[in-house]
Amino acid sequence: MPSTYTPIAHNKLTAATATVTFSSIPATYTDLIVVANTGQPTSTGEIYLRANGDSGSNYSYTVLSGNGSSASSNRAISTTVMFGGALGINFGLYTFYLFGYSDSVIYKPILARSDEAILNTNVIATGIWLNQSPITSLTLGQFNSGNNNFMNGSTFTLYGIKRA
Amino acid sequence: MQILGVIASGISGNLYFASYDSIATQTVGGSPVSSVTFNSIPAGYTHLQIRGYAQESSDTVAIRFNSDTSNNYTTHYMTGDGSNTASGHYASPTMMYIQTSYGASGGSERFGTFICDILDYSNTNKKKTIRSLTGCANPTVNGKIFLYSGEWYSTNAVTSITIQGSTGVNLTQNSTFALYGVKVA
Repeated sequence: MPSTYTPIAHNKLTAATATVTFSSIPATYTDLIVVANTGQPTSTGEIYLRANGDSGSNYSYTVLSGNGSSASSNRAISTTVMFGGALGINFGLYTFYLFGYSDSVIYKPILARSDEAILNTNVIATGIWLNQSPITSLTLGQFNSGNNNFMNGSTFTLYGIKRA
Repeated sequence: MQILGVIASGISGNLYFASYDSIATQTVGGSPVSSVTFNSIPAGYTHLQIRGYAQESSDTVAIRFNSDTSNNYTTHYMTGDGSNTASGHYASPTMMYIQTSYGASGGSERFGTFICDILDYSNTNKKKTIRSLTGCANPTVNGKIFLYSGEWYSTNAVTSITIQGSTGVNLTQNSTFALYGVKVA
């Protein structure tokens, strides 16, 4: 059986940074996974993912989250980012799963999952990038943020999975 | 370079596995099909994972093991639709749910998606449990996200997996299901 789940790129920040971009993503895989261990230096915010630098209103997402006391659900349609979870002044874990990213037929479905211990948030989210183009770059950044930087020491890893 | 597990940048608490192998993939062609089946699944792994995206005109994609069509399953779920949250279960269904779908509102380019873990699938001392993270985000109305868990009330090793629409409707073109084997250390 062909072994897969291969690290494509890894980025460890040596200074607080606003965005992290994986570019020139090869089309040789079928799924992508982005794992981020990051947080906010001074405030709170929300992490986002964008494909191919597209900052247009071409994303929609639905979220189910818990805060240690209650669950809630919200959504955004025709928005400019794919939501990935809440950021606090702490290193949380954020994962984005992208399916069929090099396919040129489907709109790109995305799942996301995150955990942030200080804010007590667990989040799962489903999203879609309304574009049939293959994904060749991914950018992570922040919105609804008091400080638009990711913490120094944050790590971002891109994995590729190739189905048989 | 193949990784030795989900190194996840040194984060503690992540799963570590020795290998993650692609076993087989099924993609629906031009003609819709009622189901897809992975047969003769090798027993040499610790867990299985199915990653997929599917479209069907009903609501939910489901899974059966070893062609068992009797009431030998259960499914629990948590869900959100952009406004409300809910949790519930199906006590004795004939299948386990793994993916939510757009249903009739889906277009040819919109697919629900899921990641389903099948744990210790070849252990004959355990009834088999699964979990699935799934969702579909609709560009015009509320999407749906589900976290499913399920159990097959059998200690038999899982040797075949059938995926189908929960109400018997067809899976449509480009629906894709990829089966992986996971070995832990």
